[in-house]
Amino acid sequence: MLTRRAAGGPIVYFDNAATSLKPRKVIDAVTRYMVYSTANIHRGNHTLAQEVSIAYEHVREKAARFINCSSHEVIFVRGATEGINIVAAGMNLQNHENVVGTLLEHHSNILPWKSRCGYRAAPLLPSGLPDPDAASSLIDENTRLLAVTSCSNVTGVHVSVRPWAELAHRHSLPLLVDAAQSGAHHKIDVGEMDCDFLVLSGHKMCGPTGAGILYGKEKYLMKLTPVFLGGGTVSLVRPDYTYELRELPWRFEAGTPDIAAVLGFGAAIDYVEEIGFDAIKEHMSEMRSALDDLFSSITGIRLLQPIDTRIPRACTVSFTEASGTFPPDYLSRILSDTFGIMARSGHHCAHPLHDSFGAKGSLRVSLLFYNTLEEVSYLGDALKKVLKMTGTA
Amino acid sequence: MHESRPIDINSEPEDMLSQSVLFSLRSNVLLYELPGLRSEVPGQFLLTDLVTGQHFGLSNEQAAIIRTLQILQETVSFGDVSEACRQKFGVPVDCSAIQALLKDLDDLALIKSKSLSREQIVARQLKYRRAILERLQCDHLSSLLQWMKTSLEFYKHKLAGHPARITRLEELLDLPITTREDVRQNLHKLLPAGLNRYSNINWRSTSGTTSERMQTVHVGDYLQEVTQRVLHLNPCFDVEILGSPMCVLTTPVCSGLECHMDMNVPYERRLRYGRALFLNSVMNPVHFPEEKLEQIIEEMRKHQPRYLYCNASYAAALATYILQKQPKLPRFKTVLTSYEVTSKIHKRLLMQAFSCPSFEIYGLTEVSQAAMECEDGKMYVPHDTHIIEILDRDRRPVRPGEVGRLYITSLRKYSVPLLRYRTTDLARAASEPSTIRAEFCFQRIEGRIGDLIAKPDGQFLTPRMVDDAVSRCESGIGWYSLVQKNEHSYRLYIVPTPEYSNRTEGQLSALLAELLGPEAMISVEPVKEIRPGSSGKFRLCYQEEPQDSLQNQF
Repeated sequence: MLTRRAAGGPIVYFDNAATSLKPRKVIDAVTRYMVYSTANIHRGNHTLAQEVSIAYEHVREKAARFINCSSHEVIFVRGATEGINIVAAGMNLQNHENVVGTLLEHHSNILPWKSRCGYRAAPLLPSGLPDPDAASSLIDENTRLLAVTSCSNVTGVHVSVRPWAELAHRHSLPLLVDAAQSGAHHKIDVGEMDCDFLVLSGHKMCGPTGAGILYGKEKYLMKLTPVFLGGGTVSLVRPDYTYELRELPWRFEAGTPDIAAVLGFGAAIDYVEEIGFDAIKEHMSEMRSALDDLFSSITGIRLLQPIDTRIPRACTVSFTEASGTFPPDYLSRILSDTFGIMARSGHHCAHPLHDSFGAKGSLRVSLLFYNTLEEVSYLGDALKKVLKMTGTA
Repeated sequence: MHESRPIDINSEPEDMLSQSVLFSLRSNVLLYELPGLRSEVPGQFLLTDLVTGQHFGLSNEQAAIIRTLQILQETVSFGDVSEACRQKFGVPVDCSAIQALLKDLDDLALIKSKSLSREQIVARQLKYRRAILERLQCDHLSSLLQWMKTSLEFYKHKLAGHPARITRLEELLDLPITTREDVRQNLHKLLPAGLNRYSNINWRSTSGTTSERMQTVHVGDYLQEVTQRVLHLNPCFDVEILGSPMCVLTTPVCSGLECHMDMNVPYERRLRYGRALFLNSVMNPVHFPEEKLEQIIEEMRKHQPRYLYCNASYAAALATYILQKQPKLPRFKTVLTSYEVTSKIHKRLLMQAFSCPSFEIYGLTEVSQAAMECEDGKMYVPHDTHIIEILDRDRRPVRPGEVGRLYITSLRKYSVPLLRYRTTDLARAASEPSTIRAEFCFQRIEGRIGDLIAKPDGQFLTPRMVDDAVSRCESGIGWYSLVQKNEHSYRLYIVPTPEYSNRTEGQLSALLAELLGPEAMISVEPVKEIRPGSSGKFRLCYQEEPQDSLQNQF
C-alpha cells in the first residue's frame, strides 16, 4: 500500500480509525491459508482440518493472552459491532429496561441497545471525558448494563475504564467496553480494567477485515442467549430436536467462521506485540505532541475537541474548516487528490457527538504507529496551503 | 455572473472596437459605435436589441435617433433621415456619418431586411461578427491572463515571461499548456485568495474515468450562467425552455459527491433548484428493472419536464421501455445527451421514444458545459465562456476535418481557471466554417484518447468512427463495445435486442470489415450484459492491452 502513489507522491494514510493498513506478515498468513492449508475447522480429522483447527485455536489463545483473559472467554466475531450486537441480543432486554452509555459512543455502541430498550447517555465534562457522576445519576432499577468506549473514534480521548467498572459494579451491573479504537494503541488488560465484556476489531490493529473478538467474563457469557445457532454451537440435538449448547466459547460461533481473517488476526497480534506497546506508546506520544503543535499553529480550523494535553488521547483529531468554505467532504478530497493524504470526512458514525459540538460533520485524521512525524508535518503544510485560500489561515 | 469581470465598454473603446457596426452577442443584439453622429457629440458605443428595440449605454437623445433610423429603415434616403433628425431634435446632423452608418447597417442586413431570411441575414453578418468575437475573446483572455498572473500562485510561475495581453487568438499558441496533473497537484495554488468571501461555492470532483480523480471548484453563479450560455447556442433552448422543469438521468455516480444519488433516493431529495429532477439510476442500465422504469415515467408525469438531460447509455433503457409500453408522457422539446460519446443507435432511440430532436452537449467537470450541438450537427462554443483548440501532437491546430486533442481555456472562471487545459478527449475540426453562427465550432467530439483502437495497418479509430460503422446497422443492438484483442483481432460484444438475428450478425461483420480492412479478424458475440466502468461510463471501443504509441499520436 505504501508504495502506491497518489497526487504524484507517496500516500499518507491517516484513516486508521476506520481501518489500519495490513502488514506483509498478516497478508502472508491469510494467503498461506488460502493457497496452502484450506480446510474447515473443528469438522474433520484429515490432516488439513486438524492443522487449521489447531492454528485457529492458537489464535484464540494468543488473543486471550493479548487481553489477559482465559481463552474460553474469547469469542471470535467479525468485529466490535457484531460483538456488541451479540451481547445486546443475548441479554433479552425488555422495552422498559435501559442501558447507560456516554455521549462519546460510536453508533455501534448505541443502536444495538436503543433498538431493544431505553438508552441514556452521560454528557461530557469540559475535559472531553464522559462524566461518571452524570452516568451514575442515569442508572436506575431498570438499568441492565453500562457501556463505554475506551477511546473515542472522533476526539481520540482515552477513557480510563477502571472507574467505570467500579461504577457499574457498585450498581451490580456489567460493564461493556468498546475497545475498537484501542487495540493497536495500548495494552488492553481486561483483568486490570475489570470489565465484564469487551469488544475489539482486528482490522483496526493491522488485521484483516472480518475478525475481531468479544470478550466476556464466563459468568456473563453463560447468561447470554446465543443469537446464532447451527453447526458448531451444540453438542447434541436429540430426536425431539431439543439440543444442548456446547461449552464456551463455541456456543457463540455458529457456522464456518472467517478462518483466513482469524489467522490473519493472529499474525496482527504477533506484529503489534513484536513492535511492543512501550515503543508504540513512545512514538504515538511524540506524534500526538506534534499534532497538538500543528493544530495549535493553524488558524481557520475548529477542533471538535479543544487541545488539553493533560488528557490522554490517541492520535486522532477531528476538525472543521472554520469559515465553512471547505466542507469536510471536499477538504478530504483536496487533501487526497492534491496531497495524497487519506483522511476521513463525515460523522464517523457518531451523530450525537457531532450534534453536541454543533458540527454537521468533520474531517478526521487518525494515525497509527507506522505513521511518521514527517507525515504530520506534511499534513500541516498541506492544511496551511489550502486554508490560506480562505483568507483566514 | 459573479466570477466574471464585466467588460466596461466605455473604458477602452479604442482598443476594443473601431467599426461602426461591431458585434453580435447573439443574432439579435448589436453593439456599435456612432462616431460623431452629431458634430458636438463624441463617438459613443451603443447596445441595441433588435428584437425588442431596447437600447443600452446611450443617451436618450441618441436612442431616439436610432429609433428614428429604424422606423425609417424601409423607406429611408439619407437626406430624409438627416432632415428627420434635424426636425425631431432641432440640431444639425452630420449626413456623412449617417450615410456611413446606414451603409454598414445595410451591409449587415440590419435595415431593409424584412425580405431576407434569418440565414441570409446571418450570412451577411458572419465575417463582421467573427472579427468582433475574436477581438472580444482576446479581451476576455487578456483579462483572465492578468488575473492569473497577479492572483494565482500557480500561474504566476507558469506565465512568467508571457505577456498579460494578447491581441490575436493565434497568440494563444505561445501560451503554456495546463495538464490534469498540474491541477491535481496544485489545486490550492489555483484557488483565489479569500475564497470564503465568495457566495455559493460549488466543489466538484471528476469521475475518474480516464485517470486519477481530481477536484475543482466553481463559485458564484458560474455554473448556472455557463450552462445557460451553452444551451442558448441552440435555438431549441429559447427563453421559455431554459427555466422550465427538466429531468436528469445518468450514472449513480456521475460527478463524485455532487451527483451521487445512490439508487433509491426519495423524490424530494432529488429535486434540485426547484426544477431539475435527478431520476433514480442503476449500476448497469442493461439491467434496468421494470419497476424503476415505471417509477421514472410516473415521476416524469408528475414533474412535467420539457427536456431530458442524460447519459444516453442509461436513457436508452428508458427509451426502449417507452417504445414497448407506449406510456403517456409529457411533451418533450428535446433530449440532451452528455457525459460520454452518444452512439447514434441511442440517439435514434431517444428521438423516437421522446418524439423530439436530440442534441449532444460537451462538458468537463473542470469547466462545466463547454460546447453544444446545433441544428447543423456541429458543436458550438460560446465565445465568452471558453476557447477550444484542437491540436496535433506538436500542439499545432489540426487542419479542417482532422482529429486532434481538445484543449480548453475557461474565459469566465476565476477559481481554478484553466489555460489551454489538456483534456483526454479527441475532437474533429470543422470541415468548413459554420454558415449559421459566428461562434467557434468544431465538427464533433470523437471520444476519449484512452478508448482509441488501431486498424491492422496501424491507423487509429476513435469511438465515434467505430460508431459511424456499427450504427449503420439499424436494429438489433441494445448496447455494444468493440474490443481490440490484439493487432489483428477484434471482438464486437453486443447486448442484443429482440430484433437481433443472424442477419444482424452478418451485417455487423461486413460493416466492421469495411471499417477495419481485410486483414482484420472480426467476431461478433451477443452477450447478456456489458458492464460500465467504475465511474459508470461505457466504452464504445477500446484496446484490451492499450498501446501507448496509439495514444501518443495526440
